[in-house]
Amino acid sequence: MIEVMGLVKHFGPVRAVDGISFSARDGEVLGLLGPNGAGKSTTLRLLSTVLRPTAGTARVDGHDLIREPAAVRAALGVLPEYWGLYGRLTAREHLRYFGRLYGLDGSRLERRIEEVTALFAIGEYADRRCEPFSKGMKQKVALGRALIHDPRHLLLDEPTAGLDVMSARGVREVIARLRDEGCCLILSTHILGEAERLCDRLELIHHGRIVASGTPEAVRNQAGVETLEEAFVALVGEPTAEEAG
Amino acid sequence: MTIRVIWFKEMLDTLRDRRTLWAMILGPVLIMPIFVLLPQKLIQRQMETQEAEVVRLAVAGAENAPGLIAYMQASGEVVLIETADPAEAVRSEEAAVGLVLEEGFEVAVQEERPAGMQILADESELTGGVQVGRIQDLLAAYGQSVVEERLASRGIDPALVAPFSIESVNVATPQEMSGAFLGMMLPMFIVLWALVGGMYTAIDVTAGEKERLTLEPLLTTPAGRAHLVLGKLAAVVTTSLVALALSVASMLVAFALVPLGDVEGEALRLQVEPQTALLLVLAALPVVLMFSALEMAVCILARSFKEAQNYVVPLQFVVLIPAIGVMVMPDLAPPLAGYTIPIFSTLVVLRDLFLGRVDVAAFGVMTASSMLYAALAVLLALRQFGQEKVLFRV
Repeated sequence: MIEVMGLVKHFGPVRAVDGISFSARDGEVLGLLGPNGAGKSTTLRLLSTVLRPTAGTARVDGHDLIREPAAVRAALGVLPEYWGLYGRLTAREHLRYFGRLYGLDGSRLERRIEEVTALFAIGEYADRRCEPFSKGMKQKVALGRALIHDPRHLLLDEPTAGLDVMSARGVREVIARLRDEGCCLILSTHILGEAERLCDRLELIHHGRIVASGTPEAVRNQAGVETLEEAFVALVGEPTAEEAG
Repeated sequence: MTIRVIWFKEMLDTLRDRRTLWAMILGPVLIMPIFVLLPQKLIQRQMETQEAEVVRLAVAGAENAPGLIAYMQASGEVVLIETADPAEAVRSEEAAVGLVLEEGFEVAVQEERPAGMQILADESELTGGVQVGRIQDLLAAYGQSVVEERLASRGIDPALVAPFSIESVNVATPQEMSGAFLGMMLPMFIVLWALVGGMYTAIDVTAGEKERLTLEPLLTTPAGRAHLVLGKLAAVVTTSLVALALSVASMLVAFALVPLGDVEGEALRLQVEPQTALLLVLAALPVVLMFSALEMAVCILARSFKEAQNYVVPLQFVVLIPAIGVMVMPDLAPPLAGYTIPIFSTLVVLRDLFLGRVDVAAFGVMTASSMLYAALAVLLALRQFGQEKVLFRV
């Protein structure tokens, strides 16, 4: 359970997040949908405690973002908007390093590494250095790294961005599986098809505020249109000069 | 625990990086002995060849002093070049030394009147002194032989005009003999390796994380930022220390293998006791910590490896400027309060440790004050990692 309560983040004069509240339940995929620069990624970075909110807070399984950031981080698995790998480390070394940072050790850690490499079919690449991996391979390692401690809550920023059809499909399958296992997932996307297919509920974000929320169907009804794309255009409107530029 | 996990990963990562290997291992092992011993050897070699070589002597007015000329030629140490303009011959390096013998020189000597001559040397030539000295010695010996003849003709024992004999005995240790040169080179190199040895690792664990986009995933783990900084700092300190220890060790080996010169036929070898070597490393420990933390605090500002290099390279001047100060004043002995000046104090203590004349109080003041500066640098690094503005440049 993730509860977001009035989060605000200003970067100087820019109000990247301007009072956002929502909650995501266990066994649910919540999608943050919106144009580029709407504040999706900033919201996720606030939730992952990488940035400190200007105002407001959030709770992950009852742990407060501001007072117990370490407990929040321990409960979350995060794939940030921009992520990378250590080119000189192998896939297995990545998983081991992050597993240890999450407090796993010994046989428990090794067993978990086996589970994650099996989940993403990393197996045969596990002991190769990551430098020459394809984008899809790297994404598997990055996702595996975020899942190494078997978190019950996941924040995934554009989890299928830049992936080919098969890789994106694989990632969506993993997301559905985690939801079925009872995880609470928040993902951001600007791909409407993905939002429609993958998300149980959507929060449509524009200029740092929520402009619509509910199931994909409810969002469509709210805008009084047939497709999510039409709803998106109706609610977000024509791009402003700032966005177009 | 977390700190150890981070340290271990950074060490693994950095040891797979060729740049670190150069800075940490090959650099100290290869460059140190070359930089320290080669100039010493070259100067010595040149001195030796000048000792062995015959001196090219340009003479004007040789016909005025046939006795002297015959004496010089008989010595076998000179090649005479007769010329009207010995000054030009010396300037054009045709001759190493010039001699002008005035008219009537021989007659004056025979008539027991003072006789005049001029020695011409190019004093801008660094090593010219040796050859001028040899000519002066020859002339003095000739003068002595003239005096002895005169005394003998009067029936006086020449020993009468030499009331005592002087023998000089060198009591300086090899350390002190080579101290003037090595005493200024060694501390600078030790402190420089403390800075350079960990530099690539410091960049890699800070700006490198930003460039590879691995910083944010790292920040989303439960590891606290202080743990991250301390684990990374431990890795930077480790590489610096390895570089420093290797540079000291490689120098000890070089000293043991290569004699610095010889005194009366006996090879002169520097002996640096293992305890001294250990103290050298120990004395440098606080600056290693300070540099490592400073490098991290500066490099985390950068968004890329290259940008970080631009920031960190000027740090070398922070070492070089006081090092040059210590170099040009080899006998500098600052008051105790002077040992609170960062870097400078370490350079002075390192020099004195090497020369075997270190003061315990000075060592203590240097260590205590340097640890304080190191602690401040660590606090600065911790502060930098706590700031969104620094980490994300927002």
